[in-house]
Amino acid sequence: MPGKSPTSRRRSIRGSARLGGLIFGVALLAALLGTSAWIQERYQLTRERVSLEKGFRIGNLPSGEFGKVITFGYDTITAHLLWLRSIQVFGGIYRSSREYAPVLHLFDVITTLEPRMVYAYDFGSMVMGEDSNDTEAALKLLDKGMYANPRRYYRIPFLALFQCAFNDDQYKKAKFYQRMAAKCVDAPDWIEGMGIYLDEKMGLYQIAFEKWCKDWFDSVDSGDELMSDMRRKRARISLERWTLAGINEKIEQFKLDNGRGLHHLRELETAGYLKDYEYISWGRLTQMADLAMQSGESLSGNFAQIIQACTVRGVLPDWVDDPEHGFDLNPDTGEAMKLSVIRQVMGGRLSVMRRELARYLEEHGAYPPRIADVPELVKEDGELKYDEPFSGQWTYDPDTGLLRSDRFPDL
Amino acid sequence: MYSIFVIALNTFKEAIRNRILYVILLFAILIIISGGIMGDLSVSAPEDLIRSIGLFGINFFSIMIAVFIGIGLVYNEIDKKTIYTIVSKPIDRTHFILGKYFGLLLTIYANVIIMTLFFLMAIHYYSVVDQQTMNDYFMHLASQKGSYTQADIYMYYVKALLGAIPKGAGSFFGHDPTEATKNIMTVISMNCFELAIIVAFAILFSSFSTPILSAFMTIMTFLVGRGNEDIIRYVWKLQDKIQASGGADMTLHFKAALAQVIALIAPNLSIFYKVSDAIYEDKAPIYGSEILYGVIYPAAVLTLACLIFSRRNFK
Repeated sequence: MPGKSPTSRRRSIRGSARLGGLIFGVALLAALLGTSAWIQERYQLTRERVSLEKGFRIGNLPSGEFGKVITFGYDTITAHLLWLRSIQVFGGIYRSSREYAPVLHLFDVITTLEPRMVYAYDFGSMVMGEDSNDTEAALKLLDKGMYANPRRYYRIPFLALFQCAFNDDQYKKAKFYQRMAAKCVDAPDWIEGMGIYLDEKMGLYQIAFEKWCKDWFDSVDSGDELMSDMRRKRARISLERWTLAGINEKIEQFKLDNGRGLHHLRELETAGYLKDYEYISWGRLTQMADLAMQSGESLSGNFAQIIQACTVRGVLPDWVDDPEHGFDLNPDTGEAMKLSVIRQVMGGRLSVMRRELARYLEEHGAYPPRIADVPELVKEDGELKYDEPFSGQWTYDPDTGLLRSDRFPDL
Repeated sequence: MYSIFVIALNTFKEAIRNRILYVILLFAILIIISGGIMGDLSVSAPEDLIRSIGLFGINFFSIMIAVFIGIGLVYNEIDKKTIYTIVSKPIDRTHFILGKYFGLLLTIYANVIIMTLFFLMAIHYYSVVDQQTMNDYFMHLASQKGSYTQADIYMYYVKALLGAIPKGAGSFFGHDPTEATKNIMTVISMNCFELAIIVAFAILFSSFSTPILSAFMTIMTFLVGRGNEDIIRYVWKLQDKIQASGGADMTLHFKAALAQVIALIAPNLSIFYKVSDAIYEDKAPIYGSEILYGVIYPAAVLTLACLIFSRRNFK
């Protein structure tokens, strides 16, 4: 075997040296990295275990105004990044600890950095109002949004309206926000409808009726059949509520004067309590509207005259006996109540009693001689659980098991 | 004028060979693209987040490029003694400074164009791979074909990517603007004025100082420029205090006057950063006075740079 030449031998030595150098380099790198990892591990052991959640306190964030200065113009991106953080904060930390003050602070910072982030007001008010039940805090955030974006985004005052009306029953305050929302440039049409809803909630039925009626007339004039039909129904509901409220006022007056409740609604007429009472005749109103439509006259232009012509004084409404829209006295409370509601209550009671009678028949092979013989329908003191509630009597036939109310025999 | 053009072109060629440029550009593109992932984390309006991050990325990284490339431009010529070969020729020193300025500006604007194109493509891509859009597409596909495969989903992504390229280029030239791309070119254009000022400062500081000091001073100028409106607010606060104290406190007078001078002399860069308006307004407002300011201010800084540089002794 021929020996290696000096050149190839030198190459081989150089190659081995290079490989050795590489191995040494890798070994040194591994040793250095290993040592630094060991030091890091020792260092970790000496550190107090503080969770990330505890370490990052949202409450420690500086104020939004200060944030605006230190972000050097990058306030929008900072607000967006904090917005991402807010979702984590809500979902992770504060939802479990129920600590909401820092969350409000976070939303305050976000909305100061970027006052036009409507969804931050949206989410923030939802967290504060719904989750934390702190309507005042939610309103504080939303008021800030309204102030920063005057008449701009209807959503902000609408959320405030929502908080007041549905979380706190503050209808007067809600009405203020509704007016603010309606003034915004992007306000949808239904915001007006919310105003009528709030009027009704505040007991301002006349205002609600007149608004619905006006809207109904407007949609008739513009040929919008769908809206016309919907608004007409809403006007009718408002009118019924307004009329009922008026009648109940008179009943209250009667009670105060006579020291007793009414025996029958007609007693209001005979006793002269309806002399100054006014109502709008629905029949006449629809008739006039139909006539005006046929003749092509403007309804909304003659709104005041039409309402005037439909106003009736001194008697009970002409639809008082109508089974769907009429009303009668509820002897339990002494107040007037819608007949449809009375029928609904009665129907419910009859259905429960009939079910118990059918069960009795199944068990005993015959219907009970009296309703009071069904134990499930009798209270401990022997009285019937379900009275005929509206000044009537149950009519019961033990042979056929037929149970009816003499007030509403059709049920 | 020709000499300015030649120096600018050479500066551009020199700058695009700088590795820092590519590192920053890569980071910028990564940040811009990551906007889509960040957008997915948002419970509402992810498109706002995508735009916010993208526009921030373009602005911030183009400023970084201006600072880190601009600071060494003139200094390196002096340090490497290559300045002698230039000043010994019949070239005005003013032309040299202007050539350097426009060359760097050209480099930065080229980068801004690249970042903007990527950003617009990213916006179009994310608008197509949006969950709702994809659901609608695959529901429709399923109703037509009966079912769809994993390959259909991959193809959808590929098509979205390929479709985003011409759409992004189209949006760059103002073609078919959408809700997602509205105002973006306006913001970028205004950004260019801010960059013109920063580059002018970088050249100014580079003309008489070392790169590290230049970088420090340019960044400080940027921060002061962005905080200019806060200085104005500070002046108002001092003026209110003077009024409340009856005007007797001379220290307050001095402070107010000094702050007022700083506010007037320092660049007001916040007027060029219109990201918030771009996202939340239908049309980001631009005023003629802002454009005029964006032209005059760098001209003033360059004049100062030329004055300093033309009196500088290279021995």
